[in-house]
Amino acid sequence: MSIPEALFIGVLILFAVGLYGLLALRNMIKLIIVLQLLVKGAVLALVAASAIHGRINFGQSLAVTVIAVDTIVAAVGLALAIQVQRHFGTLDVSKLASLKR
Amino acid sequence: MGVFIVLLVMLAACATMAVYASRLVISALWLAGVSVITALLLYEAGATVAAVLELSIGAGLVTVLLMLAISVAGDKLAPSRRVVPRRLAIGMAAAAALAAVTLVFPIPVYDPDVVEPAFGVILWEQRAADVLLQVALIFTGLLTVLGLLAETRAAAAEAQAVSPIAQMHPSLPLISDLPEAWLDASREIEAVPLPEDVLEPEPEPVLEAEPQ
Repeated sequence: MSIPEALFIGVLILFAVGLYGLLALRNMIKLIIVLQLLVKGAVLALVAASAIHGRINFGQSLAVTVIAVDTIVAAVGLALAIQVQRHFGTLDVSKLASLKR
Repeated sequence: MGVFIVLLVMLAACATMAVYASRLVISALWLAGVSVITALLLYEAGATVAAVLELSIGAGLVTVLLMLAISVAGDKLAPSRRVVPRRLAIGMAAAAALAAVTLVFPIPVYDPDVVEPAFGVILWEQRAADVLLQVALIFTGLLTVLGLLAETRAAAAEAQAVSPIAQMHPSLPLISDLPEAWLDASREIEAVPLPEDVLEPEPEPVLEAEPQ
């Protein structure tokens, strides 16, 4: 098993588990955790693709950008989750569509 | 090769437990485990800078943020009705992964002898615009988080405006109109415990009848 193959298998694992979590879970914080799984899969895919082409530095520069932006996404999402919990008293996204403040 | 198999098995276990954990804190800890294994895979692939950042930000900062949010919002997962049935979700995820396998494998072989610039040259010179945009995004996210979490004063004023006491006495000032120093002083007064003799009512004096 070469390094790109191992990385792509890891990408597939994270992609499958993350997609199942997005479809099955309803808790907002849990959804943010699942999104983190998917983004880690994207980071691995970037590095694996750059390793195939022999341009690992370019791949990891893209990965650094993705990691930084993903952290901002997580922070904003968690702040939104806190506000949703304060205003509606629940983190269940399926109930938020039918609730009024 | 054996190292990769062990890491991939641990990656699958941590990711599955992060989804299936019944408590949010446990789920966040499993996510930190996924970050650590991802960092190890990146390190093995030669992406050392990305591995260090993934380890410090993914396993460190994001976990701290998750713990903070869970401590405020609560750790319990309320039972809810599934929009997508579990078997259908598993089937769709497996089908998507199978489609990705057919797209990715077999992995094409390219000429690996490519002369590549250093990481710093790529990041600061070739991708300078991306880095500037990334800095702008970080500040935007920071301001967004501050704006989302700093509305407690406005919420308190709104709650006071609809309270029965405020409706009975409309001349009372709103909390938002008070100086900040007054609010700080009131918080300090609440923090000081009252002495016991204040809490216990004083006995009423017994009046003796005057002799006639």
